Amino acid sequence: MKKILIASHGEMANGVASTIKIIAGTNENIQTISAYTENIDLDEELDKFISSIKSDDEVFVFTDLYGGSVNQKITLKFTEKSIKANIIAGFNIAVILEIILSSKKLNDSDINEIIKRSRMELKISQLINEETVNESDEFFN
Amino acid sequence: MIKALRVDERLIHGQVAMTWTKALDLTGLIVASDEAASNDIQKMTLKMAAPSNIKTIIKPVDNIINLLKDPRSNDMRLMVLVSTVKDAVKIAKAFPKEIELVNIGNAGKMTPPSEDKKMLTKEVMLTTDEISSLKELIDIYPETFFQGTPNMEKHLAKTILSTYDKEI
Repeated sequence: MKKILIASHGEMANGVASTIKIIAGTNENIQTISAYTENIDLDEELDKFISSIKSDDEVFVFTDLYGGSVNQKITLKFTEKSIKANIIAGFNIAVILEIILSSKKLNDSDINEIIKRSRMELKISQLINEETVNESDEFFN
Repeated sequence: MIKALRVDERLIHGQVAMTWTKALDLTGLIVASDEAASNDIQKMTLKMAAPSNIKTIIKPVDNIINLLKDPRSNDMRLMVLVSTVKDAVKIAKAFPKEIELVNIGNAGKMTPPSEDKKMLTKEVMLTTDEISSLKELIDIYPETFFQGTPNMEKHLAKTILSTYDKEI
């Protein structure tokens, strides 16, 4: 099974889980850690997540900021404990959706492809007239 | 082939672009809306919402009916999006056998409030007029179902309507 953890400084992780629920329709397999908020101890929560991992799980951890303390601690802990996990730093909604909605088992090159594509979703939003297909010949072409 | 006809007042948006396109392995999104087709800005924003690897076209309902009659549409896996149940009925009447799934996603939450609007599910509110359109749609496609995304719970429209009819 895919096992997903979203971790952030502050409440972002919970907010992202709520966004995912609206767009994808479910966030059942997603756990979150909103670090540095009241009653949340990052280490403790991380241990809880790690102990829930089963040997055949595909583990994905999304952290808010590459190099941030949350990402540092998570990367360190997974490395020390030799737990195989895909830790993706500086996530956006697109990358999380692509990963949770993919139905197949993802290998390293699939994951890299998804990251590459999702990275393209971070861009200036502007309306481009040429993008509209107007004629059926263009549509079927 | 028409994999699905969907009523969604938001037409192309996150739920459609991210979930249905994948679940149905779509190659084309077709927006049948007189209103959207006449608004260049809305057309551009809808196009922006569609994944780049999926062909998208936005036309008035009648033009879309003609487009779908083109035999080349058989080679594509299409979702037709309409913003109202009434438009869905028009499409269903033109293609009474050819559509694989008829789905009601989001409706009535963005239109102005009105006295006779009834909440059928969390995502769908319809006026009395639209409810009679829904009945027409069910007559053509009895398996018409309410579902936001493929991961959400699915409800047959006829079941929802029978509960509703009992209440009034």
